Amino acid sequence: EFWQYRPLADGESAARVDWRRSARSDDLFVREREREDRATLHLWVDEAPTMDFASNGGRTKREYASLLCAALAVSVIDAGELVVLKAQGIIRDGLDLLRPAKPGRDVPASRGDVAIIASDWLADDTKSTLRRLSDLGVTGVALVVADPAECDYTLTGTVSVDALNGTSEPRRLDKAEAVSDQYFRAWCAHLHAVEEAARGVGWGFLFLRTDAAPADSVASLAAMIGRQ
Amino acid sequence: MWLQFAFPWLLAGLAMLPVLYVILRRMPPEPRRVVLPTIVLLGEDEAPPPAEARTPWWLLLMRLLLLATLILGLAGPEWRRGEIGVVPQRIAIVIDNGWAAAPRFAEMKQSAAARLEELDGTSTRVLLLPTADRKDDDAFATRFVDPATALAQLGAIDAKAWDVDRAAAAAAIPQDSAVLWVSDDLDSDGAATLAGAGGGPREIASFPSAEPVFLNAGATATGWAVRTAPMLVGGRTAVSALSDNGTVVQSTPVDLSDGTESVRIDIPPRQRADIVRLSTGSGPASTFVVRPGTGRADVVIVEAEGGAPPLET
Repeated sequence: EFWQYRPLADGESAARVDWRRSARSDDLFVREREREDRATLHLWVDEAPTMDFASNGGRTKREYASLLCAALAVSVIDAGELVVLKAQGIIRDGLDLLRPAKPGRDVPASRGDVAIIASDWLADDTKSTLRRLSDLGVTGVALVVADPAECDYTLTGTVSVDALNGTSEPRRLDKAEAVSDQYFRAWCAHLHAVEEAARGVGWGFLFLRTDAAPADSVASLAAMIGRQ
Repeated sequence: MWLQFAFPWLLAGLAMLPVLYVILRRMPPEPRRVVLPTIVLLGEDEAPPPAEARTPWWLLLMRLLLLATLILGLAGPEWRRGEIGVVPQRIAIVIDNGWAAAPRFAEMKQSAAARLEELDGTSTRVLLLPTADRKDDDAFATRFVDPATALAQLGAIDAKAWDVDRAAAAAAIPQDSAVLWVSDDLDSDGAATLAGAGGGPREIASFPSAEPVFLNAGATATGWAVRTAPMLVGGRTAVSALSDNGTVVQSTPVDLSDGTESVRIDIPPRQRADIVRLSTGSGPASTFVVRPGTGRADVVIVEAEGGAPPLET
């Protein structure tokens, strides 16, 4: 697309002169065109084992996050933009997110790109990913995906709680209901910390429960991407 | 072996203690396993530290001891205190089996049997002497046997309807023998002799009757006079006069608690002839059979001369 005419700089190649425009005046002009870079959306779905948790037989956090991102990717690819998956590179089909991952050539993010980090943000490397992307000039949305059981702490009695992170031992609680207040405080503090981190680098923050209707959640996510 | 058990098979429960140990060791039960990734958000110091997952050994020991005590208790331990501390070489067990012993004769046999069971397996020789078994139909030769044989002999002894002969029993006891006298607690000739018989340790187990025991009864002009043995327990009772079909003709309340041994009961002449039994209780020793005709007036017709009374009883 046409962008502007500008005067020919000294020492510039004569081949670049736009003669039609230059004929209408005494100066020589160069025709400049808009650089046609396609917008790139980076989708970063957390692969931590904690994302594989689902209560009451619902979708796991990973499934839910992948579903939202896939829906978004389909419409973004339809619009002619690029979608890049972590470790898989550019994909042609948004539904690839719902299939087993195929390793591909990683495409590094660059200034002006948009990213979505979909995670429960329980692992430390999620926030460092956010910092790294924002340092590259990438903007985007920090999406917190949470299971209902994580939002509504319902543990009672004597339980051995597995954090599912593969590293820590199961946590034994004698009266699980007695620490519900402490849990909710910690849970809110966790969400606040993610929000602070996102807002601090100019990213959007979105919190979604896996029991919310996926269509509504995709709409919320798309609206927030549009504002970035 | 003084500690014995009423239900020795319950002691098999002690063999279950290792099983109980394992079960108790597993208590409290394993906690429910749940998954909650966000539990890592809850700081270690925010939840109270879990209680000791395993039962402390001293608590376990106390529980096992408690269970062992319970099993031993349920098995019914009986501490048989030995009256004759040292097991004697020879012992004469004298058992009263006269008419007065009948109400509690089963207990008396049990008492003798218990002693024989204690002595079973020892080298003690036992002489069993029923005091009411007369010499001419004595089933047992007066000789010492081993406790197991004596136990079998004891089973064959029954209470007899006649009186005891304690002097004869005393005469049969050798000088070097210990004596256990299972007594009906009714004094008789020869009781003192028997009490001093034998040269070893002596022991008397008394089984006094709970009901009044008739010693004698005789007709009087107005009824009967009965004599009873002194009662140890109770006292207020009634002497009933019964006809031959078991009907109580008359019942006279008597109080034997203050040592009274003789009671007179008056029965109208018309009914006196019907009486065949006097009774103060259910047992045979509490029943006195009246000689038929004892209560009937003997009538004599005498030739009247002058103003003499025409009838004389």
